[in-house]
Amino acid sequence: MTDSSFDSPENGTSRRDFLVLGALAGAALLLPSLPASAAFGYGDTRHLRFLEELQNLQADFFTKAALSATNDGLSEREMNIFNLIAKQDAEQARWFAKARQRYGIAAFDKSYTSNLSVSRVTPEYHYPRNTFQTRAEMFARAIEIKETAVGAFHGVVIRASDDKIVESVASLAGVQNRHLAALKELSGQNPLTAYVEATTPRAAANKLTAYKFKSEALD
Amino acid sequence: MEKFESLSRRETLVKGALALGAVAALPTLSLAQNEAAPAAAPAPTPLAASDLEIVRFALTLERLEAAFYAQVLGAHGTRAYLSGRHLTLAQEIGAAENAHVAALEAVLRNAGAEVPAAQEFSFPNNVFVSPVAFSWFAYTLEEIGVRAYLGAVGKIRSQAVKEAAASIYGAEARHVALLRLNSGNMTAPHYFESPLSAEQVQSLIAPYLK
Repeated sequence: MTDSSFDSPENGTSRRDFLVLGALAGAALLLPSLPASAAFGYGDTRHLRFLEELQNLQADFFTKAALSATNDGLSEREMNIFNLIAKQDAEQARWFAKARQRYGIAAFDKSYTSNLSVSRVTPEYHYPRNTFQTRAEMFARAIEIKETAVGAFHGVVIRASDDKIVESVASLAGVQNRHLAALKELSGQNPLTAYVEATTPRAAANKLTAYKFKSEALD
Repeated sequence: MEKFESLSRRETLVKGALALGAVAALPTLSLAQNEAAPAAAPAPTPLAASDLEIVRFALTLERLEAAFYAQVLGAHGTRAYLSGRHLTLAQEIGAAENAHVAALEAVLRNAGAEVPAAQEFSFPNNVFVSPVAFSWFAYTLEEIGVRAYLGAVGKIRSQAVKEAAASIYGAEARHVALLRLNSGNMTAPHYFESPLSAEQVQSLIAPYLK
């Protein structure tokens, strides 16, 4: 495009095209559907259970972060991001719980009863004492947890066998990437240079043991 | 990384080339291009036809995005209409998109497939004069990229291409988040991304293909 074209209102793509793009891009927002029945293998079952545990941990951490009042305070924009992440991680955790119930996934995991009407005891996680006391400490923990989560989600995307599970997990992974970018941007880190390596669920679980993460879904 | 132990050398090279592109930094561009150097490359082993189709389609999208940022930065050179984080994002994301283009072209060459000729694109005039229009168009374009990769990821057969596509997909999602965050919009409007089919993506980008 030449510079002279900028001054011509008749030239190039019209305002109508611009609006069409926006309208279409916003259409049909749907989470990819999961398989109708649990025809997938044990490996994929473990993937789903592991990510549910991961989302339980994230929802717990970010809820505490959103409710905390650090000594040095957070800006409104930062508080909004922590609130958003807490809400969306909780939504993702609920999605995984529903998937587990849909497929009757219980027998593989000693933490679950085969009676799906019985609720599971909510896991209790542990965070270092200073985690929620200062902005810097809270961002550092948040980024560590979120980076691990992104790596784990990517790891499941490339390891899951069922195509529909791949799509569904990738759908949630995209939002995890958005969260990570926002946290890094707000904390002053460069969010574009960091390459997030896909990791195995076991490696991710090992990184999170300090928070009393339950890795039994992988046993 | 246990799943990759069985990957062929060619698959590993494909994965490496794409992953380098996903790192989104200019220095990796030359590395990604070097992956395609005939003297060092092993004999090409074709990817599945469906995977090649996906890579070619992804290349069109990445070229579209790269052209957008290049034209924006060209316009900014003339009229200095971007400032602060808008400008650095255009520079940094533009560099990332260039790296994605180089990496996808390298994948095609490594697979012994023809790299499509360069394409030309045109964009709405106001994205070259208004920071608000630039920002809105940029994150809408990136959003289409995210949803296009998501629509394709379950259909990819090559493990190496799948890993690399997942990596680029993550990078595109981070681009959207940054563009939205820095224009005062909600970083992630939903707790999930929503896929688009190739046909839907084609119809969305058609107005910008010359």
